[in-house]
Amino acid sequence: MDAERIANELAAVLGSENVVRDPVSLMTYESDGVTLYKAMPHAVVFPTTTDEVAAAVRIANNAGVPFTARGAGTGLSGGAIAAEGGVIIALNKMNRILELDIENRCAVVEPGVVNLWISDAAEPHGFHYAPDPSSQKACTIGGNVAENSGGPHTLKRGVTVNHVTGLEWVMPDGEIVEFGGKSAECVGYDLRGLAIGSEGTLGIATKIVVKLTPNPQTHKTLLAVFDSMQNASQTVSETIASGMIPASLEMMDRLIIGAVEEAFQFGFPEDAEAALLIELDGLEAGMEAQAERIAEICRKNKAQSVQVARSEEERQLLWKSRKQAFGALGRIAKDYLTQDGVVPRTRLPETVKEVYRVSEKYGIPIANVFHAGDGNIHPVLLFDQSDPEQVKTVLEASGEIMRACVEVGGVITGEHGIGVEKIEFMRLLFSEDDLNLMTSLRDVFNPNGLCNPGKIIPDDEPSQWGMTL
Amino acid sequence: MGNDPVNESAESLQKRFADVLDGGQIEIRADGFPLLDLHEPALVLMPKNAEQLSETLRCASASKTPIIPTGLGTALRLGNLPTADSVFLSTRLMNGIVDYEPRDLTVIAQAGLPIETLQKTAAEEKQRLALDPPNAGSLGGLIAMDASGPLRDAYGSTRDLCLGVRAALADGTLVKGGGRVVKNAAGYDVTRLLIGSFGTLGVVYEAAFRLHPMPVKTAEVSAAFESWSGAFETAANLARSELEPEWLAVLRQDEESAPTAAVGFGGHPETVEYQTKRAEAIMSKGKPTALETKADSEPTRLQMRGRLNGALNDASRMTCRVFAPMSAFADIVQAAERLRPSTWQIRFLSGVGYAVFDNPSAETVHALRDETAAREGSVVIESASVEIKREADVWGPPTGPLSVMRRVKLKLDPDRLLNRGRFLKGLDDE
Repeated sequence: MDAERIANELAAVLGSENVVRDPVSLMTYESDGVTLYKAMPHAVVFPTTTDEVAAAVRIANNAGVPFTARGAGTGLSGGAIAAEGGVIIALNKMNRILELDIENRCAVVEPGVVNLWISDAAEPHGFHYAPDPSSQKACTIGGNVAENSGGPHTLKRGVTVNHVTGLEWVMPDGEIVEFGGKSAECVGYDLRGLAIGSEGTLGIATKIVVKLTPNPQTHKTLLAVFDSMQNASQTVSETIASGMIPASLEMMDRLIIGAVEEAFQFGFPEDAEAALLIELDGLEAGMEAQAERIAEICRKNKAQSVQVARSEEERQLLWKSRKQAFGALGRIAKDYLTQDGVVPRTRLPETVKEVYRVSEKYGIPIANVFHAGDGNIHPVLLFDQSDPEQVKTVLEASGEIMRACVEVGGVITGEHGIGVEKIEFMRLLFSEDDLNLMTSLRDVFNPNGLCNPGKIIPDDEPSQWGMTL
Repeated sequence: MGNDPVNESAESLQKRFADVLDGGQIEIRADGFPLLDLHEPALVLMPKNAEQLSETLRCASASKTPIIPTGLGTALRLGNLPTADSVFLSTRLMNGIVDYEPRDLTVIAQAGLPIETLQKTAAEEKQRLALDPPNAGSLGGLIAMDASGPLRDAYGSTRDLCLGVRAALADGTLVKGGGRVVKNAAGYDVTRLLIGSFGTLGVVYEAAFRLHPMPVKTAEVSAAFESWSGAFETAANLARSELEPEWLAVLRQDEESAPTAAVGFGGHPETVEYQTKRAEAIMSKGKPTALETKADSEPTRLQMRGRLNGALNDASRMTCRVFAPMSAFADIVQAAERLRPSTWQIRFLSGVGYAVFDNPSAETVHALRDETAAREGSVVIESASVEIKREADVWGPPTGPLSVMRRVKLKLDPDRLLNRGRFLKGLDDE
């Protein structure tokens, strides 16, 4: 392949201002949210229309050059890094909200629109976009579609796939097609469902129809602190079994609480082992009674304290401890790697125990902050990335945690995706036949294998990155 | 049409599968089995487990015998006319609950399990599968059709509640998609692809579902109006309010009835009570001719189901599923008046409606399709006579590229053995 020729072709279609080639600028695109995995792209292009995306894809496809779509680069599995010699198609300039259709509770947006912008735009009408990944101030909807992103509020409302009804899609050969529309129903195969969560390997979303959710009349937020993880986990189980569905049920463990306390002085007790942030949303009528019932469950399970937010200000303060958790960890560790296992909710206590055992075994501090209501754990492994030994250990420890999740009937990712990081671990979850089926589906869309290669489905050649089996 | 096993005697067909299945698992000219568009099944194969299912399909595949997968046969009236004489493959003997952990609010069960049996088991734990479709018999049926009922307004369709599936592909290969956990981003969403694929990509034999707590209390409020516009305006006002209904419908049960808006609530008693009062107030403003509240039951939701069920099983009538943006329905219903539908049931928040025609013709479908397509909607014939099916495509244009769907189909079922001719027009073309 003649790199120079391709770059010129791209510049001719997109304008030279939309093609980045100088090595210093390219370094920004070397990795996504996980800086452990790096690959320098050959060029980064910024299309501004669907036709330009299709043109860029066609140029790359015709030249046999691999290409990878990218949004804000906040992904946590290395899904948006370029393949060897590949081009990055950055969707950041396609960032318009094209339509707010309040009457039909949906919005049509371009892929580069930041997640939170949709809720901001819909707010005056009393609506929001429900999936709320922790990175929602930065991450883009296109990336959310690629990863099938979740967030704390997915317990009650579901993940991206439950909130996207239509896609305009550029196939890996440049053909522009549409899957679905403003209705969640479809006639024929649910290609939209297949496309969502395909981590950029089946094509590129250029327009997305998202559902808008009415804002709840009110919230009730509780923070319960426990002196044992066991009691906190038991509280989660009993809350779920009680017949109430909280909007979110978030757990933080001792290490997180310590880091948050050091950074922000929330006033957590010194011997706090776990904190549970529980939020109910819905109608005012009956809310008080339900909050009291949850508080009772907390107390029955020996909570040290149960705090109820009395105002929106207090609610935001309680959430701050959760939302700032990752920032606070930055103060106590040089680097961290966040894992993303899911287990059946009743298996949480033993799984968390296993995480602590792994931490001890490998001598790696692991903090835990997770979506307890979904059984979606996020063990955060603290380490120093500049030490190759530590990198090796952290990946081994991560692998052991993943195994523990699968052993109790769980999976290796709930919302971060497989990317390059967990690709070998797909073999733990899926049989050869299962993987062959996925390969067949990929071949239908992406027969030349140029559309974000090296992600999701393991190859015969082991991946150069991530965890090894 | 390729190989045409109709020329074979049932006995010879039976011999083909005799190595795989016991005599009791093969029914010849199964009397009790529902007819499919006048086709009497020559043979119904009933494997007992995944291995037998796999072997049965392997055997069918080797002999290129077309297969119509089915569960209890409840919804055999759906689909285009088959273009091959096929052997039926029923999952009815795979009908157990594999694993039910109430504290996880998830259940894994076999595809042949009647949905009612699952609901009974879940009810013992004060839980339910929040799907109330009119015409699904088995869990596999739910999956094949992506079924849903009025509760879809709050809980979504089968796609939103099914967490994972195990299936046999056309060549007998056993595969799985998804898992049993409520959140899963590992690999392609094979589960979603198989749901609603009408048994044309594989035969699902086991599935995991998310359950919901049974509401402690339920109630409904319904109001009858002089005109459709009154009912639609009231529904829109309810949708715009702070209320969180489990279902919100605009309907007319038969030609003698008045257009009605009905709404159902479920949950904490205090919440339900508040919503009932507020709904009464909102509905009163629309000047209804009648307003009725049921404090502890949802008769309208149940009647809707009964009514549709009756229509779906009546060969002389035609039932169409219409879906469109919710704001388009008032117009679609008005435009369709000249076609004389006897029943309309619209799940307002989902943008899905059912129209029943007592004296239908293919022309009725074409006209309804034109009116609906003009408003970004689609029409699927859920049930109609063979005569209408000969003239009208049951599915209409797909909501995605047929070319890609065909490639998916040919990749997974290259001999087009599964449900040949019954799904999208053109899907099985060579």
